[in-house]
Amino acid sequence: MALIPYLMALVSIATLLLNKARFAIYLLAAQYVFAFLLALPVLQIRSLIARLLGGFLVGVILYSSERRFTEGKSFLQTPSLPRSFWFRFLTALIVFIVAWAFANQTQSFTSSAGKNIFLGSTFIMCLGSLMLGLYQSPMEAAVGMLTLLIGFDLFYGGIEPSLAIVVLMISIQLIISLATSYIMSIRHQAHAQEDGRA
Amino acid sequence: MSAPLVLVVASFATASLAFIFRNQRTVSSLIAASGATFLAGFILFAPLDEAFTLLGFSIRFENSWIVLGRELILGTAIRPMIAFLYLTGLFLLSGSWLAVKNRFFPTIAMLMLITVAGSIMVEPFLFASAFIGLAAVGSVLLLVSQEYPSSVGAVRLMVLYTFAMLSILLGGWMIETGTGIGTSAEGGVSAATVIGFGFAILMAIPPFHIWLTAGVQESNSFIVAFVTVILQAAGFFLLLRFMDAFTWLREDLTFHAGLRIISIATMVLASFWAFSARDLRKVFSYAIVADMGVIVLALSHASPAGARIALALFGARVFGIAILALGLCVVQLHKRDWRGAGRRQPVAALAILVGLLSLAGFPLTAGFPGRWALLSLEFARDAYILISILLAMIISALLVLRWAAILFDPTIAHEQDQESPSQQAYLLIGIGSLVLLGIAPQILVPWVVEVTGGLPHLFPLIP
Repeated sequence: MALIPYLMALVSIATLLLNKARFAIYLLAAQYVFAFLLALPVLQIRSLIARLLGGFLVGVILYSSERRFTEGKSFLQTPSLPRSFWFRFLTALIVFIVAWAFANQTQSFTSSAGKNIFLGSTFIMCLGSLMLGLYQSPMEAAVGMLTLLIGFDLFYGGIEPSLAIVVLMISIQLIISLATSYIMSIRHQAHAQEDGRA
Repeated sequence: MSAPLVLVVASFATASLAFIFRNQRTVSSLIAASGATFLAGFILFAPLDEAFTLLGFSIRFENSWIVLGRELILGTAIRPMIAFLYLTGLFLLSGSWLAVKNRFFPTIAMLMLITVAGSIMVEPFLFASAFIGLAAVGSVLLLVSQEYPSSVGAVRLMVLYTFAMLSILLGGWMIETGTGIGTSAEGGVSAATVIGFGFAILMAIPPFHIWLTAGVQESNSFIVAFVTVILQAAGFFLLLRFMDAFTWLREDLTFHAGLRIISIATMVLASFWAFSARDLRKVFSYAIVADMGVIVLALSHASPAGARIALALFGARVFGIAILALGLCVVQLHKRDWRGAGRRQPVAALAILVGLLSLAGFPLTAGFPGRWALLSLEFARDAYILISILLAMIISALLVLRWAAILFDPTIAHEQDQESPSQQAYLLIGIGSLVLLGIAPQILVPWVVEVTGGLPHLFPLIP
């Protein structure tokens, strides 16, 4: 169980470094499973199953959108410094170290949430924020936002176990994935029209 | 019967009906506007928690509805806030068929309205940010369409509002558990900072206005106006309720000093940005940001008078933003060149200029009485506040002169009038409303009194 927070961090770093849309969706699905396992000893099983099912739906929506509307199978990228592999590696490493130090030094936050949960949620919230800082395409932004929300939900679920907040969080994640899918479909249609004109 | 349930069911029914008639834009818009009118009437006038007879039936509306363990309450305190949302919806939806080609606008707009209304009704109100986040993400479906496929502003909105939601939930938890509130000075600052970050995003305070400036250039201006007004209203009402609920926040001088500095910077910077902008749509977005700066400045006075002025300014801005947005849409429907546009569409150009003047707080427009009252508060005796307010007003007045010269450029040949009578009628009603509110600002007083009556700690002097 103590390894799961580090696995979550590793998965987030892999999402950043691989820079492939389809892999990012697989890795996001893995984050949902890790979050489920990590919270199993602390949260109610019914709310965890609801979160996992919500995550499954999010993954299906993003995967089907990626299959239908993406041709390059990778996020948009340029060879400039903020998008290069080594830049992303170094920033991910720095963020990982900062998150690790913060999670281990902050004692007051761990009163109602387990230490592992806090560590895991801190890792993926920080790395999700980094993804958002570097995003160039709607899909990339969605993966960053969903990673951030998984981390926050993991942390917040421990301190506010109400069913209403579970439903709201799942709804927000689903709407983010639907909105991303919608944006991708509109962009795809616009590109198709441009190609048709050309 | 539960009143919040009636509100939810009626909103969904209206949205469904608007969806069925989505291919007839006028009908769909009018259905949504009628639904908003009915619901605003219901919110304002329906007797709650007491039985009454209607058409021979005895009816009793409860003011609360429990969903998933949380309560939605349509209390006396929040009824004018929710009514404001639906009345705003009424004004904007009734004009949407003149400017918006997106056939799903009335449907999604109604769903946004009920989601934001939910943010005001939910108890504990700390969960409001989750509803606002939901509404913001949903608004992406309005901002991006086949006509406007670019998505930079929409994605920024989604990202920023996600951050806002998280920071307000986190700040709320810090307050509830006592981690970072007024019991220790250091802790108080940390909770206020986390919450302040969230509210800055909700109210598009720079640098969190970037979704607005991008969105207005790549989406329909009228849709951007709707999304902005509704989301900023949600953020503004939530801030008022935070200030009403937490004494330490209401009385925290550091928090109010921070608000004051941020609001002045917002007002002055946005005015300069507007002046330097070459695109009228960007000017529109900066004018909204500068206006929000003035509202936050009034709120920073940390007094019932300041908060009342903020409310009056907030209520008055809807007409200015709406007719400015519609004017922009009408001009852009025909030609995207601003120069000489006023000679083709004189009423639309006039609406743009009057809307800008109102947002700038020019005399005889809706934005002026609030600013005048603001100048009468004692903190306006501070030179830097007085200079900032006047500077922003002067820059904005010069800006309007410049755009008047561009829009009515006499060197551009006069073309045939391309405004429809309906567009002209709506714009003239809007201009008339702005002037009326400028001459008789007391029209807004009953609404302000109603809102303030529901916030007893923030407005202790109101009977």
